[in-house]
Amino acid sequence: METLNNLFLGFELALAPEVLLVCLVGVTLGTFVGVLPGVGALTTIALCLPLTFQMSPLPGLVMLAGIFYGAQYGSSITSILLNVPGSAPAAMTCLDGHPMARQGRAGVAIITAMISSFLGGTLAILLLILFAPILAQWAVHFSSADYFSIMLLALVAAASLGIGSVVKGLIMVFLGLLLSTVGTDLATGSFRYTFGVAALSDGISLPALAMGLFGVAEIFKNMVRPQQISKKSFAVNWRSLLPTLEDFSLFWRPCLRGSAIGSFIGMLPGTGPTIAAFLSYAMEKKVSSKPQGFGTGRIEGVAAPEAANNASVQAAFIPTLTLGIPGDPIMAILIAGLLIHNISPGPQMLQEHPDLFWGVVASFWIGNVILLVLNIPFIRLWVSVLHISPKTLYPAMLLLIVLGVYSVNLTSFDVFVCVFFGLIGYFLNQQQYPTAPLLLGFVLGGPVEENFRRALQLSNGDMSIFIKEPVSASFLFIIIILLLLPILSIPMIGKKRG
Amino acid sequence: MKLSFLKSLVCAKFVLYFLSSCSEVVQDSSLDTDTWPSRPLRIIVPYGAGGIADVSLRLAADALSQQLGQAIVIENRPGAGGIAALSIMQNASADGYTYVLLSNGTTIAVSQFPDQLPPLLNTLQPVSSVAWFNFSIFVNSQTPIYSLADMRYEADTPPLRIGVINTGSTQYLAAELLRKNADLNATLIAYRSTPDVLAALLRQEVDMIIDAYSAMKGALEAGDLREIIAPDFQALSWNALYTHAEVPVEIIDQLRTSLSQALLSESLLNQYKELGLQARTTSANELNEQFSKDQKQWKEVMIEAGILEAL
Repeated sequence: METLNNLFLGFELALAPEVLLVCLVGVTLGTFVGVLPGVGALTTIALCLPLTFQMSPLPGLVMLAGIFYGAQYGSSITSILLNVPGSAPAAMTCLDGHPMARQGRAGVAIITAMISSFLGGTLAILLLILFAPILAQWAVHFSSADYFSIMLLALVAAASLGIGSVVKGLIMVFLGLLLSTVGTDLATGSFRYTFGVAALSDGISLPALAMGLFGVAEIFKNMVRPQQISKKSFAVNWRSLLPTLEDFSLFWRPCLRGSAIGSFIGMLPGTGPTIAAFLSYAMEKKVSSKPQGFGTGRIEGVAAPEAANNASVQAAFIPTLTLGIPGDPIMAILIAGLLIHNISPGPQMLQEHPDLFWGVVASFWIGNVILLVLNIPFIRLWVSVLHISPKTLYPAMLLLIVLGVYSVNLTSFDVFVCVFFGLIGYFLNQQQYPTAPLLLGFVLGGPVEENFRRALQLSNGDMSIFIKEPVSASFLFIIIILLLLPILSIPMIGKKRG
Repeated sequence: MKLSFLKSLVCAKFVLYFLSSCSEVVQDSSLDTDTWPSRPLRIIVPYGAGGIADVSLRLAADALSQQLGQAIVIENRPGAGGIAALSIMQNASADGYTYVLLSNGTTIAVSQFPDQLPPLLNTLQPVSSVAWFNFSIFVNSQTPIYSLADMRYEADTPPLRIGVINTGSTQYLAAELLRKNADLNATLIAYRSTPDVLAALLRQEVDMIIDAYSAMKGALEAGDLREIIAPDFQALSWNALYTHAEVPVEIIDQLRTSLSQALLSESLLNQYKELGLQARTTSANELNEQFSKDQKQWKEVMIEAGILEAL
């Protein structure tokens, strides 16, 4: 009952004209930076932070948060239409979203992405409303050993991503892991593989690597051999843009699973939407009765990662708002916005500033509704991007990517890194090596290594710490089952054939 | 229609880019100390937005800009031990409109990047410090530790676990120093970020942590943490404005005076107090002394801890 009262208070505050307006501005800006390849939410939020100093705390937070989740909606659009992810978490949406567009189902893919993002966000917001303090307490108790096992599970799942053989997938995962070791070693402070280049002391930039492997590589491919996109995608009638009932029946389950995975991953500080999207895609592939169809334009492959990345972004507010523990650099900036106003997020915030907490939570849902309503009428406009001649489109995309990658750290070094990985990505694609596992290996490499070493440091080198902790042990058990399944199922397949 | 859509994409991108670098566009080569400041000032921060160094400067810059009657643009250029930020400073003209924020972190980075940083720092002169604070020691309030003496007792077996952010940070080196000076049997556990350190203490993965008060405030107020007062523990953190060595001394003096006035503002002092910060300006000499003192101290700690090879 109290929750309901609080929620009413929240909606009352969030529907105030000023708050509603900044929410609209935030999510619209977010959608745009999402659509633009390379320009990430982090850069935009950092740039908009000073604007919030003059606002009162609620609208300021509402706007910054709106940019963050708005970008999750927007970033799927370029993934689907052009096979160029708007940001790293949307890389998974390319795998099936772009094949759908090439089959003339771009509108369906975009609507699926929007609805999935909306459902994922809604589920995470519900969790935030109902159980935020309990969940945050629970999530903060995940130890270094637990983190290691969860990340290892994601890594094992990574090898099965994308088209191509498992061996090629594994090679790519290891390549990603190797690349993740570049930079300053967290535990000893020494520089690894930096070759005296100061810019490498912070490691390879994730946006530069992701935009290179997926964006620039795709542009190179199209420059060498322009691809034909089905004329069906130019259809103008609404009918062909909307998902059919059959589509709905295919994607609601993946959407729910993606939302659940995304909410779980989002609650854990230090994870983020990229990992959530990867894990849920891998999950769909595992539970599907026809896993070989993934990567050829399956609607489940769009729904699951899109639900997961938006759910994880919303769920990340659980530890941020209730414990004052921001899970990633974006959340840290949001907290700074509050610190400037002398508000310290923490367990006391719910009591001391209930208006702020509930107002923000209510605005999340309003923002998600705005995004859904705002984007659906625009789908025809987005799809019309496919009309643009490749001669105009791809150079413009390349320019946008270069500017976007540059804007993250404002160093031209990152631009070279991006183009370098564009070439690598192009050759890998030529040789049928999947690039998604490489990206996941790179994203997970740091956390896997750090948590492994930290767990051993905490246990004084005793390996049994990984099986003594129940959470860690259960995830290791799941990994063993995943690894054994193919071996166990071989004789069964043999029997069937026989 | 299709082209205008593309144009709007490009435009939006340029607006974003423009916002981040607008101050670079306005370049005035004429140098007039009488009319300074006649246009917005620019401060380059070698850290990302949102950290305590960034927040403390933004608050002070707000007060300073009212004092000077000019806007102050803050540019975050994190990474590579401050080399990125300092390179921009070096390329800016010495007209008193571009400044860079250095901190105790820079005194550590100097030893880590001995080839790149000193030449860049040699082109600078100090203006004044802005904010000062001490890192504190925190324990989980459920543990029976109330002073350093309790820790020594606790530390018989097994070793005490001290959580800090990455090796090479002031917090990490301060922990090294504490371990040595207080003769603690302790292991240092490095985490990626301050929030990770706080989470580790909340789940009692570590016994104590060393970090800034501002990040722990929420948990302290909730009674989850306890601050330990240790008289022999000192890890001073400061940040200060520097600029091109050739900027006329009149401008530096005028800026320092305005900054001292700005730092007296009641609302600023309140905000600083809430964050556990102290606002204080210094002379160029005092700043130089603090810099070399810190640099020497942290270099010794790094060599002893094996982070830096003795040269």
